[in-house]
Amino acid sequence: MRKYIGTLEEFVEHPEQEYTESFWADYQVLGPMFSALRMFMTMEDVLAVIVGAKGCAYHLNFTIVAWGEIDFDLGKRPLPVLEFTQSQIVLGDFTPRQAWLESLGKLARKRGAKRIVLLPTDAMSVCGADMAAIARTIAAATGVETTELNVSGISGANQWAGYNAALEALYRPLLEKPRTPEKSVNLVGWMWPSRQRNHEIGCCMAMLKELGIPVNTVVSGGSTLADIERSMNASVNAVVCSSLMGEMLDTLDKHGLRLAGNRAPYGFSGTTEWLENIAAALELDVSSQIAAMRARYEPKFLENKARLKGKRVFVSGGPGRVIGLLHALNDYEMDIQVACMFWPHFWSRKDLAHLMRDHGLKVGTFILSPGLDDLEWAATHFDFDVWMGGYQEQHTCKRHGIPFVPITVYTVTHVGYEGAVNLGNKMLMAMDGHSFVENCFTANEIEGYVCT
Amino acid sequence: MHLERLEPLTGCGILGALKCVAGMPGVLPMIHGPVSCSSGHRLAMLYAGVEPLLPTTCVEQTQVVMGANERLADALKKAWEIYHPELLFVILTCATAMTGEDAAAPLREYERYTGKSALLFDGSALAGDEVDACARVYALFQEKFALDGGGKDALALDGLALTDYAFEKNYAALEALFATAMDARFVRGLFAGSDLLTGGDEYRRARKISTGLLWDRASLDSAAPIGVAGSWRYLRHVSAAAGLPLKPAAAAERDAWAAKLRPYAEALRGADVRVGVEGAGWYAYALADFLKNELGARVCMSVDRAAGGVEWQRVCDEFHEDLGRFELVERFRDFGAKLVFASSNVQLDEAWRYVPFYQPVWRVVEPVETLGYAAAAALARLLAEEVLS
Repeated sequence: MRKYIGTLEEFVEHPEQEYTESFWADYQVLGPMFSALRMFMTMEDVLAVIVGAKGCAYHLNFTIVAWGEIDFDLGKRPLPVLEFTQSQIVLGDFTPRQAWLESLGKLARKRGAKRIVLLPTDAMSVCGADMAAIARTIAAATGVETTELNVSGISGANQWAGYNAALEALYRPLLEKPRTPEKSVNLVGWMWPSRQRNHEIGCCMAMLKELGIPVNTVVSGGSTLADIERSMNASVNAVVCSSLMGEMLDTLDKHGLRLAGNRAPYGFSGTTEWLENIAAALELDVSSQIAAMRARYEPKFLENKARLKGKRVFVSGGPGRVIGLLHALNDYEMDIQVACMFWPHFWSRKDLAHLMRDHGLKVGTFILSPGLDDLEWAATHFDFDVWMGGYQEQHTCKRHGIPFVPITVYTVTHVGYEGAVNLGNKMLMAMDGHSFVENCFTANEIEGYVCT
Repeated sequence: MHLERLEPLTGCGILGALKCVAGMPGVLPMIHGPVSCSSGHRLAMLYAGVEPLLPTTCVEQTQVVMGANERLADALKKAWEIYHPELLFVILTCATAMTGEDAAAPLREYERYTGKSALLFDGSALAGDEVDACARVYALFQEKFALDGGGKDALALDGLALTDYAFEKNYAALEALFATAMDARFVRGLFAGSDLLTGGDEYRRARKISTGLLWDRASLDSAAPIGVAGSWRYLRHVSAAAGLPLKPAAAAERDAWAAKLRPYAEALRGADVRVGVEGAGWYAYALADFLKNELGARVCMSVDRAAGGVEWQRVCDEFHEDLGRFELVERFRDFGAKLVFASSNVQLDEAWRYVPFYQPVWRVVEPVETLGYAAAAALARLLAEEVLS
């Protein structure tokens, strides 16, 4: 894992100061299989299959479903496992059992699966199992196109490799097909799949609708393979969750499907940038509509700012979210004493440099790949008025009596102008004594703030 | 094992080991393997209601090829510097178990320079699954700390774990049940908050009874005390195993609860009551037995592993081994279940009344007590109200 603790300026300007760490009391980051599975398991006509050890299916299913089943319309979804016995692994016999193939075929038909995606576990990768042969056997038995991914747990120390492999599998077959571009935008990001107005994708759709910008496709959970194919005719990809900035979005950009709005729309400044960026890519002048939208939320934002300005804050998030949250906290002119990035992606330094250069962002201490021990250190060395971070940071905050706002377990939107107001409301409520923790799985959430 | 099934109920040895040691005072579990294996299994800490402290050595492809022991040795030093655990419990994953390195060597070195203990557990799929892990973990502790069967001044129910669903509620119910029948003092078992690593010696001295995760699956007598007959059977089992007599008034207490149960049982016997049960064997066999044989329900059950000493036909009408999640939802649906005792994985509110019974339970629900006489009456009332209404 890559680690850094120091100033933000040094982190941005001196990448060589990052180092490899062998001990990580990680509490937030997930592996490559999670991200790949999150993409395919939440698609409507794709059946993801774990090949190898059943333990991976147990915890991956839990992590994907436990926080999204009800709140974000994820529902119950199958996650079959092609499990091999010890003797099969030792002998290198990876022939799927006939009865298993029949059951899988039935399930694929019942679910209307148009593609089966195989995800190998570490044992399969290490012993060099021929995943392509397994895919051919399954395709022949089920009649469903079957693709294997070359990514497993050991492929990386975070989600990046998984997103990259999954995006590659999803888009590569489409790159050679002819496009008929139209003036519309795709919303891309494998976050919670709900399109409800009070959730984040729904909020982004509502903002674009108000500006008259047509959304071609929401490329996220709940999509189909046909949706992905249709999305190739849009002119622009805009991210709603920028942690999945796999290299494929760059490849698509070079292919003519431009990448714009590549930082999720957080805060007043970040939302404005996101909307302007998309509009510019589509060559639309919607500046007056953006200003009008912004003006509706400004009074409440300024009311919050009057209380939040100068307050000492801790913030953490993934490579997409923390950039957004920094936008929001900077807009409120808070004193950002510690900022943590759960894991870095290729554009992280560029995003942070943008915040420093164009928005004057100042951060006291910056931590890359924080562990629970780092949180404890921060809680004992700084005096925070409010703490905004991953849900399991609740334990540190509880021990030290710090007001806590979770940014990984929540339902009301944190993006858009309304999201900036929601984040402000939440920080103030936490500082006034509201607990956002219902139990270890569920947040004690509030109503969102919407100005129509 | 029925490998034709698509969706297993259980996980791998890592989960089994963590179900034992999560929340255990003085223990720091650590994953020697990729981030995926630690991040996913942090859920075991949530089951125990504790902070998800499960460090990892973040092994990637390079270490699998070039060797991961150096990284392990470095991580052990850092673990000591930061946390000073009484016991470091290092778990190998599929990737690190397959490298063929002597991972025990860095642990020996760690013990030498810290003077504290370290245990190495192979959590890979090659070494067994979740169910196998519990007995293996227990054996490691027995050997490391020279644990024996103990004396008679107190009893410890080993195999009950802080990660069991509604553990505290059920443990209190268990104590209440024992109070009706025995003059025995109970101390916390090894996985249930024992004082083994915190300076006390109560656990070490206690008479140890294998139960819960350590159930030998030999007979229903030693399955969980669920139902009135089931609770009585379990009391007699512990009485015999510990050599402690039952109180003279114990049978009268049992009869009084049986009388309370009778009207519900009579009402339910005339109805076609169909119930789904998903759970670990010790709990699930006992619950199924209660539902079928004391209340007359028809039961479809999926357990982590079949009990060699109990024919499934004796306790249920349809049986599945290590089958869960979406596939089990479909089986319960086909069975016509109207009430389901299970994990959140098979909660389907539009199809049946759900009762939380087995981890993971991720929704906000009031924990339901299942052990002992009072719980039996409450469960019978619940069944009658739900099914007969």
